[in-house]
Formats: sequence, structure tokens, C-alpha cells
Amino acid sequence: MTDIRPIAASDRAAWETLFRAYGVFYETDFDDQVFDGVWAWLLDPEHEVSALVAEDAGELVGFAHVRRLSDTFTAGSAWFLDDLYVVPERRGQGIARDLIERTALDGAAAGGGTLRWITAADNTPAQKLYDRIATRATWVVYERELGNGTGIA
Amino acid sequence: MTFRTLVIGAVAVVALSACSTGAPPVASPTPSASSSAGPSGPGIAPDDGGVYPLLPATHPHIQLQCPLISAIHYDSLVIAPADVDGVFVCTAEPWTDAPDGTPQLVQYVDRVDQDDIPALLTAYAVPDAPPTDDNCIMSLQDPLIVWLHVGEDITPVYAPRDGCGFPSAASAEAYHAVRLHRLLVAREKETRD
Repeated sequence: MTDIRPIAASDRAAWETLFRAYGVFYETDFDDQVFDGVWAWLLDPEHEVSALVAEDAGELVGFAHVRRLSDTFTAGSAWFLDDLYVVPERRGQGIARDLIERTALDGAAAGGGTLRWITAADNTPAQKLYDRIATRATWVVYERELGNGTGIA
Repeated sequence: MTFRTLVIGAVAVVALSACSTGAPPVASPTPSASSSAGPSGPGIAPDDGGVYPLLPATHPHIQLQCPLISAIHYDSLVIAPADVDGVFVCTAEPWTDAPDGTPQLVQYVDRVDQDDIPALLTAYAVPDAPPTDDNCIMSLQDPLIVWLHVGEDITPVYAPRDGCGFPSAASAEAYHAVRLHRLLVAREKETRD
């Protein structure tokens, strides 16, 4: 049986392997600074980003990164599922859904609100699951890259 | 009072009610959302004559997924199998070897594998058997409740009963045959005297 649980300090190496593979899926090669920075967030109980992992027989087979937000429409909490990953050989076995269900359960226990996430437009296998367990939103997502403030007096 | 004594007490009460009347407790005829009694303490079901697990999972976190409200018989005409988004099983077991010596209730939320839901619902849709006049064994059996999630609604349903008011062999077999995905483990301390 696969267990869903909060990430623990002992998961660092396995988490990094999975997170690296997740980055590859999205054509991103994370450097050590990213791993170290995100890991520090995940272990900080005060940070808004947290993680769940899926473990089977002592091996991590998936993870979810979730971020707590402040919802101006409710003056309450909202949640954003930043990253969701299951190792290829374990896909189609309900692990992604388990990670989402636990994320939703934890969010409900911590104040409720809306859980949102985005996915690639061409990631149809994932969308098949998402369409079954959530409502497809009609929002359009925009992005604008920002400078990092260097040089501002 | 410890969980052990609580369970023994529950055994006596249920055994008496099942065999003195020859019929199972009457389930709430209304949808579960209208009869939210809620837990009355760690591992304690409401004392309202409803249908609850023998040792209910009462942790607040778990109550969000499996609220402790009286279970009803599953009617596929009221809740169509195709409308069921997920089926969850919430269970509890005493943990008497806690490091601090305080009895605890270890509680679990498991999700029924999506592929196993149709067979489970088919088995649970079978009507309860009519109460039998035969002698019933003086024993206690868990009602094998599962929680059906349909959109925002959550409805606990019990396993169809045999003539003695216990889960039928077929429904019990279906319950134990499903594959489960463990979503959550929570612990609750016994705090009462």
C-alpha cells in the first residue's frame, strides 16, 4: 500500500531525485541553489510551501508541493498545488489522486478555501484525472518575467 | 476509562440490541448530511441509536473526510454509482504502547481504488435481509461503513445485513476485497478518566 505523508528530513535525497525528474519533464534543469532553497522551505513549518510524499515499501514514488495563499475574495485561505509528480512506472495507479486528496484534506483542516492548480495544455493524461476530481476553470494564465531589482538605488 | 473498556461496553450494548429484538438498529432514513451528530469523544460514537463504526475514527482531521453521522443503506437509485466521485474508508485501532503510556487511537483514512468501486457498490446495494427468528450469535461485528463522496456531499453507507443484523457474507467479502490507498494516519489521545 502506498502511504501519503508529510515530507520528512530523511527524504532529502529521494525528494531531490524526484524533483529533478519533475523538472526534466518541464524541460527545466534545477541547480543546487533551487534544491537547497526549496528544501529549506519544505522543512520550515512556518513557510507557506509544504510537501507531501507518496511512499511505497520505503521508496518515494511521488510528491506534491502546495502553497498556502491569502484569498482576497474571502479574507481566508486558498491553496495552490505548485508541483505534482509520480514516477513514470507508478502512474495510472491512483497515486496522483491520493496526493491531491490528501492535499485537499489538509487544506480543509487548515481553514478550507479553494485548491487550485495548473497543468500543461497538452498534458492530457493528467487532465483526464483532474477533470474527474475538480472543476476545470476558465481562467487564462498570464506570465511576465520580472527583473530582480539589481541596480535599483 | 480506556478504549478497551469502551469497546467492551459497546460490545455488550450492541449485542443486546441486535439479539433482543432480532433486528438491526434502524438506519437514518434521511441523507446523512441532515443528521450530523458528530463524535462525542475520542473513539466514541454518538449515542443516538444510529449506525456507526464499532470504534469510530473521531480525529477532527479525519472527520472532514468521514464525518461521524449515522450510516444508511446504500440505494443506487438515490446515489447512482456513476455519480460517486470517491469512496473512503476510515478506521481506528487502539494503540496502547504509546511512548508516554497514554492510550491512543490510531486512525486511518483510506481511499478505495477507483476500479474497485463498482463491485463494492453493487454488493452494498443489496437489500438487508429480513430479520430472522433463528438464534443469533451473541457477538459484535463492525457495520463495515464506507463513505461515499458525491461532489460536496458525503454519505456513509453500511454493508447490507443478514437476518441477525450483521454484515452479510457477500457484503463483507466485497468490503475486504477492495484495494485501499492510505491517505492519512492520525493519532488521538485518550484524555478522559
